[in-house]
Formats: sequence, structure tokens, C-alpha cells
Amino acid sequence: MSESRTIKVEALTRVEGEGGLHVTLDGDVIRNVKLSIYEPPRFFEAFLQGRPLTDVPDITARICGICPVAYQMSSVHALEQALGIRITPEIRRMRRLLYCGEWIESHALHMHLLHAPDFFGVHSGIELASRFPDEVSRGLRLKKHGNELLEALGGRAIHPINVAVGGFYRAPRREELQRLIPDFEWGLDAAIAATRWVATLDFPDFTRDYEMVALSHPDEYPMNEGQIASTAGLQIDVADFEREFEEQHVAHSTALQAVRTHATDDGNTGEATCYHVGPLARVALNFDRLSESARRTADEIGFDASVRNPFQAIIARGLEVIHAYEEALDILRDYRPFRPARIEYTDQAGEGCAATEAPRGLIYHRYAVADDGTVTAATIVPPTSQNQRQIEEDLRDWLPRILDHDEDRIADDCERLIRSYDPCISCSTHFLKLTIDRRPQ
Amino acid sequence: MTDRPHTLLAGIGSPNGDDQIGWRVVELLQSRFAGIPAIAVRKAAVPLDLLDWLDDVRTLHVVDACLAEDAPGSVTTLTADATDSDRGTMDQLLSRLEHLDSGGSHDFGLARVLELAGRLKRLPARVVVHAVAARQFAPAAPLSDDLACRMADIAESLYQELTDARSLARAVAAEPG
Repeated sequence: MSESRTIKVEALTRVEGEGGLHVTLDGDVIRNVKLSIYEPPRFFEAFLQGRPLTDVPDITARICGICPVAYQMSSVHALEQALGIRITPEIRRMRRLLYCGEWIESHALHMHLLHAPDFFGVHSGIELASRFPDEVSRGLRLKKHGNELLEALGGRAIHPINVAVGGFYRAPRREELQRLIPDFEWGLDAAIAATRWVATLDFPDFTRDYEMVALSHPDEYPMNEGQIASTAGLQIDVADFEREFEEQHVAHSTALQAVRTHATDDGNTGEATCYHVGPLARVALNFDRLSESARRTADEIGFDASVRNPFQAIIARGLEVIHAYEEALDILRDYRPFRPARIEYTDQAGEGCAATEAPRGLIYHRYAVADDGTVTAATIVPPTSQNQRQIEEDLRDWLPRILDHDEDRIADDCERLIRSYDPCISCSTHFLKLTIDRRPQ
Repeated sequence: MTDRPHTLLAGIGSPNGDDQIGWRVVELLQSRFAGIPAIAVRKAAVPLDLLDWLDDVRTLHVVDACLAEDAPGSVTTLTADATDSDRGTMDQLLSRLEHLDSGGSHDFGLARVLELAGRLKRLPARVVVHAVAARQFAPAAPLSDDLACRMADIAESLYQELTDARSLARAVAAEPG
């Protein structure tokens, strides 16, 4: 009779939000892999209904303290489509600049403090900082630049408030942005050095056969516009997202899991499959649109569009940080205050959707608004819900390689794999748990 | 001395219920400290933000909500002072915070951020954490009446502490050179 074992990671560490992992083994046979997201759902979609559409960018920004821009950008693009607003090229460039700030901030944090410790057998960024103070300090400085850009353009780094449907409430003054240039020039070199550093890490041999999904644009590396493409040949307009992808409930998670439906023209669907979103997918589908320095660095370290090892997503993040610095510098150097900062519009009934690229992957929003500008429906599909089933599939294939380790080591190795996705389980509440030890005087 | 602020007052918060208290308290103080270049006032969404602002800072004050049995709005002050260990050491403060701290983005709560700052030799000489007891953290909920009533008093108390001549003298004395 085979022995039954259960491996539990009660609380995942170094991820955003609260989740756990439960694996059931029958001997060496994997019976079940469940990535559980147990933090309570926050019902943002319902919360948006009945609100004026002008509130949406500021409310959605609060879904996550780490990637507010992704939520803001997706919501304003979707609402602009609903209202028939066409933004100017200057506004579009500023939105890309804002996205550069978020990618730099989020990727630098994940690379240096969250993911890199896994490759050195240490349990935290704090331990890593003792061994590699220069590298960790460099990473934190990169993160700081991202925040400073968000602050200059978004009004503040956390939950930026300058983003509006139609553009920005205020165009920054030239000097407000240009004072960032010296730091960004340093940052570009530092990002290249950081990417070279992470490329030297010892990666497990774990090449996967993913269907990778990302935005794809003929002229630029995708951030806030493009068609949805996949490595399996999918190429669709964003308007068809809900035909090709579907969110499903699973009993073990409070988060929905998105799947590929393989819809056919006659309205039928095939067997649902998982897919992979994030920096590895973006690079796979858009490698030739990375900036020159990013491509040159990729060539130098031997990284290309064919990489399918989730642990190497840390390198893809590095390449995207390089790209973000280079694109940001181009925009900062040429920047002139623009008018109008915001396109005027009249409220009208409509429906619109948009997809953009959050640091963790594709994010999709759809809204319906009434003729008085009130939101009547909202759908938000974040990247982590799209990766959740893929992570479980990865774990099923990863576990047989590590089953002869003791259970603590197995749990650690599973966490490493999960962390390579930089999952954002989205908790915006944080607090100290206080117990007071009162001793007699 | 540099002309950069040597004291940082940071309010950590989120838009969720009583977790706003850190933000709301520093909002009340921002204009009052505007004319004092030695003191910077910032709002942080995650404790990690603090690391962006520590250059040249000798004294760090943090206001944050905490889940506590105490009456909502009561403040527990934890102090670590490298120049005066009678006021508490950083190890003691971290130990208390480790005990208390369960939150923070990406598993980086306030204690871990301060510890990281220490490893990178960026920790201010004096750190004071003002932990405000709170009970409800519902998404997008308003601040509870209990905390709303206490907010002005907490802000005033902080203002007095930060502008107290001894506090300023201590911060200046800790300045290198």
C-alpha cells in the first residue's frame, strides 16, 4: 500500500497578499495540487457599480499598492473606448512613461528582494542584503527611481491621483520631469548590471511547453495597447478577450481562475487549458521590440524569445527594467508640457474594454456606463488569476523532481516556483498585530 | 550638517478603514511642518517606501495602525535610540515589532523593513514607532468614529514631540560632523 502524504505551505511568503499551497501525494503519485488564495474577496467590481466613471481610476488604483498604474491605465482606456474618446499622442506617451515607472518599481523590488534570495539559499531579502549589500542597495535605488517617476507624473507614488479619463488632470512642468534624467541615466547602466547579475544565477532545468499570452503591438514593446497574442498563434482584438478566455470558480480559492476556452466560430468551446502571462510571455512575443540596450544585453547573456523556464522570468524582468529606463529617458529628454492635458468629453451610455500589461502580466477591464456617466457594470481580470492554474500545472510537473527531499525542502522548492510568477494576491490592507506584554513595575 | 531634512515623519496606511490612520495623522501635520525644512512628512502605502526616504535622516517617526486589544485610538510608542540605549535599542524595538507585525506588502512589514535598513547601514540613529490601536480594516471603509475622534489629539501630540527643543537638539546632535 502506498503512503499518503500531504505537503502544506500554509502561507506563501514574499508574495503580495495571502495564499497557501496544498499538495496531496499518494506514494509518489500527485493526487492534488491546490494553490489556495484565502484572503477575502474585496468585491471591487460590485463596488464600482453606481459610481461616477470619474471615480474609477482612483478606486481601481487602490486594488493594489504595488501596481496601481496597471489598474488605472486599463480602466481609463476601457472607459475612453466606452465614451468614444481619442487621446492625443502626447497623452499616450505620458501614459507609457507612467507605466515605465511602475515596471521599474515593481520589477526591481521583485528581482532583488523577493526572487533573488531563492537562488542563494537564503530566506529573505534581509539575509541577501548581508551577503550582497551592493546589489540589494542598487536594486532599492532602482525601485526608488520608479516611485519618483510615479510621483512626478502621477502626483504621488502610491495610488497616483493625476490620471483621469481622457488624459491627466495636469501636465507636469518640464523641469519636474527633466530633473529625473541624471538618476535615470545612472539607472539604465545599473539595470544592465543588475540583469547581468541575475543572468549568472543557477537556474533549475525546468523548460515548459507554455501557451504564453501577452499584448503585441507592431511598433512598440507592449504596455498599454495592442492585440492579444499567444505563442500558440492566437491573435485577437482585445474586444474578443471574453470569448477566448474565461474566469472560473474553483472551490479552493477565493480568486477566480482564468482559462483559455478555445472558442470556435459556432460558439462552442474546447477543453479549457491554462496559459502563462507576465514578463516571460511579453519577451517571448515581443523580443524584437525591446529597446536596443535590452536586446544587446539579452544577446550578451544568451537570453532570447525561446526561453520557457519560469525561474528565468527574473532575467525577463531585468530586460524589461532596461527597456523601461531607456524608453523613459527618451520621453523625459524630449518632454514639453502638452495641451490639452485632458480630452473633454460628454457622458454617454456605452461599453468599452481594454487590456494593458501590468508588471505581472496581462490585465483586462470592461465597463458599461449609463448616459449620466454612472458605471453599470465592471469586469476586472488581473494577471494572477490568469496565472493561477498555470502555476498549479507547473507544480504538478515540478514536484516529481523534488519528491525525494524532506518535506520542508519540498515546500521551499514549491514556493520558489510560485514566487517566480511574482503573484500579486492583492492586499491593500496592512497592519501590525499588536500584543502588549505588560510587566509589573 | 546638510540642508536636507534630518527628521522624517512617515504615516503608513491604506484606504481601508482604520488603516488610514497613519495617512490621516500626517495629513493633519503636513502644513504645520511645511515651514520647518529639518522635518519631512511623507505618506507611505507600504513600509518598504520608507527605504526611499532615509538618506541623511537621523530620526525616523512612523505612525501606523495596529491590531490591538487596547482601546481604539490609544497609542503605543516604541523607541530605539542608538545614541541613548536607555531609551531602547533597535534590537528591542525589532523584537517587539516582530512580535506584533503580521502585515506589509510582499511579506515586508515594518520590522523587516527596519531590519533591512539596518543591514544596509541606512537605519536612522533614532526610530520611534507610534502604533495606533485599531479594529476595523474593511476595504474602502471610512475611518471609525473612535479613531476619527482621536486623530487630532494624536497629531498634536506628535507635533509637540517633534518640535520639542530636546527632540530637535537630539536630532541635530546625532548629525555626523
